[in-house]
Amino acid sequence: MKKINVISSIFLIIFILIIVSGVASLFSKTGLQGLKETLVSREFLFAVKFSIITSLISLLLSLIFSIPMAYFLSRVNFPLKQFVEGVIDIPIFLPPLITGLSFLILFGGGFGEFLGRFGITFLFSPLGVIFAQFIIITPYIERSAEIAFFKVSKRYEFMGKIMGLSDFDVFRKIVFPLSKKGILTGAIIGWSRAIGEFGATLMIAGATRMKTETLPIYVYLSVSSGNIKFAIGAGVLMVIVAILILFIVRGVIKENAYH
Amino acid sequence: MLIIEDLNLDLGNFSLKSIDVHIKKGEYFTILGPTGSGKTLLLETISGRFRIDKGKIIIGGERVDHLHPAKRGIGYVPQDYLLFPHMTVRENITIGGACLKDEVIKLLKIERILDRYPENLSGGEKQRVSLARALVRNPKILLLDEPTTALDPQIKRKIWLELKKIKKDLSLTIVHVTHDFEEALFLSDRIGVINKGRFEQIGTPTEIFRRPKSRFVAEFVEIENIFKGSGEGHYIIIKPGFKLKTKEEFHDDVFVAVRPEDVIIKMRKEGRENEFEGEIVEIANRGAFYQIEVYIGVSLVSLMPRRDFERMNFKVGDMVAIEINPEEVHVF
Repeated sequence: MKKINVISSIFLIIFILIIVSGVASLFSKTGLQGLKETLVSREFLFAVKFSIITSLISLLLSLIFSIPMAYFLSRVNFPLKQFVEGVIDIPIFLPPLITGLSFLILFGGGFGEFLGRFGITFLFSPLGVIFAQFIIITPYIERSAEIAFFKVSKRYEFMGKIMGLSDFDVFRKIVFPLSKKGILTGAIIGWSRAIGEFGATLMIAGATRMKTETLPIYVYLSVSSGNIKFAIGAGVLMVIVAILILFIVRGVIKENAYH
Repeated sequence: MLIIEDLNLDLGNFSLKSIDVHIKKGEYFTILGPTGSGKTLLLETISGRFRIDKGKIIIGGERVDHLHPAKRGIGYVPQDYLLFPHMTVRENITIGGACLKDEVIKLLKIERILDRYPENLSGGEKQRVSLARALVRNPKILLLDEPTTALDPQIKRKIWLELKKIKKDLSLTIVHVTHDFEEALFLSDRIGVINKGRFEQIGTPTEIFRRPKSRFVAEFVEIENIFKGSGEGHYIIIKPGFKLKTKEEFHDDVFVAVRPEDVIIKMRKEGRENEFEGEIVEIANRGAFYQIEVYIGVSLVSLMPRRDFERMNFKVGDMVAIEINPEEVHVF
């Protein structure tokens, strides 16, 4: 083996060991009894149900925004396009805690009061959880969809028009089916990020038991109150779900790359 | 059927300049040009991909340059076929509400592949499906963009014959883009040679082949003997000792072109016009022909049928005479 490959593989092995040892330590501290107690805990079941519902709603909202935004950005060139794309990417590069803090300030001021008049309250409410997840995952989904749309040749759209399709039908029958795997990949990644979202959620929606308690918030509250057993149980379950998602995404990406 | 008047389009890297052409109903018109000459751009502009800057496109008596691509009455077969990969052949043909027409399906022999996906089709089958997709819409005019470029030579020739049959059976008007001169000669009623977004010459295959009007056209139709000279009545002086007699009179600086097959090589001079002596400097076998280069103060290339060449038994270094009929000296 070449010397450079040997050196590179050492770094690879060290990194793999770091990750595996972290995950393994989580598993080593949990027993079947602890796992069972966590699974039947009312608070844990609330957190699971709440996380699934909020993440699916935020995913749906994100898709509703991301798909048209991505299609527009993949097809239209305009001045300041790079700036606009940069703005969309801000939540990717900003720590979620800071993103959350900025919206805490926004919704804590006059704008929050204005929305409150219409019964819309983001701060310390389940709506805030959905909003935090939506803001954090949308750039990932939009970027995935944009790349997927960009890969579909504009000439397919032109052929569709010659065949007599309207612009909307060209999108529905040609562009979307040809890019759906890329969008699906983005949606799975976005959903997994929504399930795991913590920093922005904590800032905007707070950490209130049985109210704004997502799975990460459940882990946080369990650790804060000394119930490490429940935190570990939830952590193990989240790792299992994350690994499943990882394999699904890799499968989709592989198939996508083939096509 | 298709009238283009003073069409201008500027896309920055590519442009079309003052395109004027009238294509008759039932005509097979070929746009011939090298890569980047604007031929595909012209076809896509006719089909409605780009909004023109100036001019008119009229199809079947109706001005269409402002119309949606679907309303122009065209059938378009792109170079890479552009079959939708997520649809079966049947869905590809009927998308947009068109009906499968037995007549077209049988003519193109695609009955057995209607439920296959494009990834499972050969190049020739994709070609036929793409043609079927265009034809089921009853186009007034069929636009073909390099339809045989991706095909093997044998399949290519088969497709040429099929295109001729389709044109005859369906009484179609066809505009065909190609860079293949042999293809243009085989199929066309008329050819338009395009260069840098502008037609250099429009004419019958014989006119283009025998009487090119510019150096570009002459070179594109593989006339290798092109010389710059000055006209002095019925003679063009190319260099001291080499002047060519022409049919007409010229008095300016001109270009002269002589097709290789019109350069006749013989053993010795016979006292005719445009006879010169020289030495064979190169012989190349080109299958049915031999290409012979003779140096007479300038290099002249001749094409000789294989049987004649074998009978004459020429070799490099032989001293020979060449003759060029004044009728075959093309001046532009």
